[in-house]
Amino acid sequence: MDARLRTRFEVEVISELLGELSHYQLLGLKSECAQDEIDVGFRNESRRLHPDRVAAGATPELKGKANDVFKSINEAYRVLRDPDLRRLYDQTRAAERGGEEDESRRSAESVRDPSKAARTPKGEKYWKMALQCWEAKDYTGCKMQIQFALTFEPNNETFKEWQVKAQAGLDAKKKDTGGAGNSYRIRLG
Amino acid sequence: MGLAVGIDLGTSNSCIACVRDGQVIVCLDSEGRNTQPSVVAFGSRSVVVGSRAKKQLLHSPEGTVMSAKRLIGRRFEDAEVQRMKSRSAFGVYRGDEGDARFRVHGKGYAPEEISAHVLAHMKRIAEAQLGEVVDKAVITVPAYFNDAQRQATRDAAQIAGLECLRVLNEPTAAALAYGYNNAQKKRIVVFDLGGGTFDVSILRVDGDLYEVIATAGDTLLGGDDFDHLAADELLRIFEAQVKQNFTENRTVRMRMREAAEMAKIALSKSEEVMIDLPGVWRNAQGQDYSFSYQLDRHTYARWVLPLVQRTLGICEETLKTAKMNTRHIDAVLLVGGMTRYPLVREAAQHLFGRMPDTSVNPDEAVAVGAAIQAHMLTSMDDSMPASVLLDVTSHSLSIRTMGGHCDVLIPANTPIPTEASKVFNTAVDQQTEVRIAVFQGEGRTADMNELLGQFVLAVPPMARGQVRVRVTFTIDSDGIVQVRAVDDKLGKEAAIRIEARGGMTPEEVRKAQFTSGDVVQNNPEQTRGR
Repeated sequence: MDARLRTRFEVEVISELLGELSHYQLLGLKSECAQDEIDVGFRNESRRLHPDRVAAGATPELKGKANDVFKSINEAYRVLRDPDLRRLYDQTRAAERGGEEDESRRSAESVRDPSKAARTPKGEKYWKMALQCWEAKDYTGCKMQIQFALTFEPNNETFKEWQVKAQAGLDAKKKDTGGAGNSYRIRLG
Repeated sequence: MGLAVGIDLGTSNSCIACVRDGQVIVCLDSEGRNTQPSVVAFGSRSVVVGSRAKKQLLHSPEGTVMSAKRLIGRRFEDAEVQRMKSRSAFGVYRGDEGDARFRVHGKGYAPEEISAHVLAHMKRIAEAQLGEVVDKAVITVPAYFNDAQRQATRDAAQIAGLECLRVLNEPTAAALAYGYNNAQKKRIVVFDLGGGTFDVSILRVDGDLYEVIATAGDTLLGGDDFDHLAADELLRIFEAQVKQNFTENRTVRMRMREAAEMAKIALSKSEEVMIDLPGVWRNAQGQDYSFSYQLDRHTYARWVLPLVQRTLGICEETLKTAKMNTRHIDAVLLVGGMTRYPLVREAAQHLFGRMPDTSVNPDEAVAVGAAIQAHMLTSMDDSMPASVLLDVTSHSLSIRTMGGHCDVLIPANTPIPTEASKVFNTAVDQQTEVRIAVFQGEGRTADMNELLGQFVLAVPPMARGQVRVRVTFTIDSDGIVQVRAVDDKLGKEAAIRIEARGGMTPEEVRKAQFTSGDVVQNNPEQTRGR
């Protein structure tokens, strides 16, 4: 492919992926690279993706994308070239990744053992009561306790799952009692 | 489609160049000059620009505007504007937006319009030589120009009928002109002392990549200042001779300034010069007085030494910013007319401990670099090797916080284009506006820096702290600042109004645009070859 066309294509693709690329990926580096490789990565990517590379004959839209890509490359370089900022960035990333791993491990466990689904003390308190209500087939109480638990852990998937279950239990019960209620009314009539 | 050129729009002189068939051409006027004086003379019916305008300076000083670049993008209250006002035969007044404007023969002109006349003149010279229409240009500015000065330069291009492809830093352009013939891994210093401004940039050149590591300067330090300083000394000598005070006498001042400039040029080549001004002053009784004085290099050096020392101080600071010392430097480029003066050359040579590189023409290098950049930005052919310029912002961008301090969002020497954002909360219940004052400069408090503009955000009235507005500051490839605001909760663009930006309004710029008719009428002799 013609070099100019290839650069345009790369700019298009990278601008779509900007939110997902790490600072290292933006500079074409591995996250364990040596500090002096950062400069090299920045220079290589600048040579390749500088907005002026695509400027001739480009649409304003493409120029805008090229600017966005390069601003991100600049930002990545600003952070990674400073050893302190780089360490901070690495730590934040590790924590985020750790959080994601914890999350998936937890939700896998909670499918097997719902009693371990809560993550906060207050959430756990209401969650335990919700499970007791479930055992007692008190679906109204169960639903209410889950609602309380969810105010402390609004994103807990297991809580949400069980909220649906409790509602289903309640609906089933209503159907039963609802049928009975009808017959009672008929009897009255 | 017309040609794209590079224009070095200088304080005292301008130069224009173009790339054609893989060759850089510096355009010459009909008399073979490679630079043109940046002087505009307004007659009763016509406007003349360049060397013809400069000739009018002595017999019609009130109609002849020079050094407009020193006023472009400045506020009227600026000390430099006031200084120029007291020195000039033409009027300088306060524009509606608080910017500085010229008054010539009772008519007002923004500095942008004066610069536009110079740009249009350069364009005509190029068109005459190349035989093609020129409609796009990379225009160079001092690296230390701020946002207002860059924006005003863009406006000048628009008035002159040129699409401004890029506002390029002069030292960076010079480095590109140099590197084009010396492509190898090098750290170079560009020492650029022109007619009105001083810049120093340290670059790392690696083949086709030009990376500015640090830049600094002084937009009020150039040949003009050498001339004014020497003129003051000459005036003092004359005052002592005739026992008379000339502080208020503009004609005598102008003659002395002219003499100082001639003496400087003469002293670049010889050890001493005889200054002779016959009949420079006529007293109230009609008696004529002449001034003559023998000036030598040594005396001149004593006068201007403080200016030379200022350039050296800025160089040392810049080396420090780049975390380098002079041993790291592989080449020193001298650019700008003032670097022809031996004292300046010697000072630069002494500081950096090496002979300056003489492979670039100090008058042409900036325009040549701009022409190469213009070619790269417009041409799809690969007749020239492409280069990438990684330039930086020369001023820190900050916002004013409580107590008048500055919160730096983008520090100086950050590669551009770049952006930074900050979230603002409302501080008062039912607040409907958030005001943000943006500054440029290195001072620790806001009043030490240049106000770039006041941004007013309209926000929905809510309890305090409930409104969060994310404001993004972008510095584009021209070094021009743009501000965007987004309501963080609603995720939609917030209304933003800019106050106190100064300069010409877009409407004024549109109205001021030259039509092709103006051009033909004003300079009939320059349109040959079309």
